[in-house]
Amino acid sequence: MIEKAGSIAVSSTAGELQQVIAQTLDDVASSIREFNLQQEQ
Amino acid sequence: MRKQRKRERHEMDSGEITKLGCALLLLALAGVGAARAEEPYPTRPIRLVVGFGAGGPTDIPARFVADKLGEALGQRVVVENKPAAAGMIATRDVLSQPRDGYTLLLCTHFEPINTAVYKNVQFKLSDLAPVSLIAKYYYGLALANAVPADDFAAFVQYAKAHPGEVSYATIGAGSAQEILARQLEKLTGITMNRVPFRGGAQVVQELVAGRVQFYVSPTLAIVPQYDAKQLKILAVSAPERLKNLAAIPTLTERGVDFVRFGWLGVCAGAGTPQPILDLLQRQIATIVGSASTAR
Repeated sequence: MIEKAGSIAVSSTAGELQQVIAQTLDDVASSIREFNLQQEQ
Repeated sequence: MRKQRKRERHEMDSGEITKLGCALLLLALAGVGAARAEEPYPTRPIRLVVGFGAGGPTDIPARFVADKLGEALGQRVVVENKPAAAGMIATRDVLSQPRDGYTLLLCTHFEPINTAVYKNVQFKLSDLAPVSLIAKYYYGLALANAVPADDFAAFVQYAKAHPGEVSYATIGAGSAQEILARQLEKLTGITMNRVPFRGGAQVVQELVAGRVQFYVSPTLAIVPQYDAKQLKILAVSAPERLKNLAAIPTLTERGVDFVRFGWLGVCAGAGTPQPILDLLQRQIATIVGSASTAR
């Protein structure tokens, strides 16, 4: 089912998911500021 | 003098009694915590809240994991869709419930993005207790067939030669699709017009019709149209070529250092007892591992 949806099945430890969350924020935070994408709501 | 000594003695006794009371209270609380952690889990159905619609690319893996997790735990895991506000309604719903492991969140890259985009997001990332990833997916650079470019370099050249004539689709300010398109503009030095849409399905229709030219999309949403030759995929944001799109180069191969992925995971509210988080992580890792092996 996961493959049919086009995703790659991958598990992690809680710590690894924590790192992924932090990395995602790092990847986008500066761009959101730079491109003025922050929303008031 | 005697009165003062008596008062000092009384204050000392009060202080000691207070310290003793605090110690006893701490011991009692620790005992309650231990007892709670040792309670059998789960004894009733678990909710897995998904911030996106039923049948979509977030919902399908969620239901797969929910079914298998329910079998493993001996209790139903019920998927509940709360599709609104880029997943924020679902996140807030989960965080408003007791932190007892009976309400879980299908967390995604939208949680960190939302905390950066929305000033009134009403939660912090530290409110979430990560359990496990369940899936990753990469993005493809989709181009309308009408644009006379068959590879990424030709597209960049075309966009530079036709400033203001190429439009890119976005599904909302701050969406991953918008952020990635803006980052690519900056990396390549091209400028495109932004055209907002309500959702990815509508964008793909417009791309196929040629009314919008460029879209950074999860590959899973554009592979059927690519296979039907209704649009082109110029490159993928993966670190290496994808098995189901082996003919498509990575952006890194094309000289653009740009690896990005979306992800899905399971999170609980911070404060959920550690034994419950550990149990969920072990079971989900086994389920995802077996799904991966079965591919």
